[in-house]
Amino acid sequence: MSRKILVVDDSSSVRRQVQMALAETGFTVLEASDGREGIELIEQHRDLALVICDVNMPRMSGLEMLEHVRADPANAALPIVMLTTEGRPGLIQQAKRAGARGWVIKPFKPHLLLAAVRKLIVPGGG
Amino acid sequence: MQSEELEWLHDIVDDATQDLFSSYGFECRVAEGRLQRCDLATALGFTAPDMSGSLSLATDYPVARTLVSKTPGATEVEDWMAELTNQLLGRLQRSFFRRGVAISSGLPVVVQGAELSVLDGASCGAGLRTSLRRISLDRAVHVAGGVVRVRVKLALGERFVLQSPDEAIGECPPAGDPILF
Repeated sequence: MSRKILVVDDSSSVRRQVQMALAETGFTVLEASDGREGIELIEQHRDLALVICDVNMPRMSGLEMLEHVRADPANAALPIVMLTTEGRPGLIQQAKRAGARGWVIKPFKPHLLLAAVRKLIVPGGG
Repeated sequence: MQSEELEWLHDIVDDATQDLFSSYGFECRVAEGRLQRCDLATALGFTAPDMSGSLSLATDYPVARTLVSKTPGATEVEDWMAELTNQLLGRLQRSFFRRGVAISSGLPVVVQGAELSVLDGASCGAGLRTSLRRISLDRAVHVAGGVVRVRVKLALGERFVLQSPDEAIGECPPAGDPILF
């Protein structure tokens, strides 16, 4: 199984916090600071296990990135979880329709994020 | 604006501010207080039907550095203050949504300088001929051995309505709990 997770967030602090939360999984965490960088890394690393992505970012938002990634059939199985301060139900539904596999409102709880990541990477895992 | 509605707005800002710092393990006290001189300020604009506004945080570097050093994973002062602004607006956004107001926001900006001063809220927009009601909610957050000033400026249209706490109509999921699809 792939050992790489991509975190896309314009805050270096949030990227570091996610990295710390996932440290015990042994996954290599790649970082991007906006949707465009995220797409570049997804295209470079076709063996990603999961993407964690902010919504409001400069240059390209997380929802735009999600739609772009899902338009490529090669990414159909790549789980993408949105990690954001946004909590409007309409936006959550929009992400779900666009192919997101999860939504977490910041600030995240490290153990719960870790459990969600495990469940998505290893179906049935907890 | 009815005094009751103004009180609700203050409560929303106070609760969101308290909750933000508590969520990172900081003890804090939120009191009335205006923006004064500072070294570091953030600003984030937002809009909603019949409402627009901005959120600002302002503080001095020693306080900001303490906030960063005591928050696991926080990397640098400017980045973390921008993220705190973002997360405070997220809380305000969810509170307003529950009360029938759907806010869309932009991205935070950070301004650094020496002894930055901010205009008194009452003087901002003075003399404008408009039907908008302008409100400035200024709070002083006593945290991390110093003060972080929070200012929420609102311009409310005639049709702006804030539901009472007892008549909350919108539901938002809680922070931190992953929703898996």
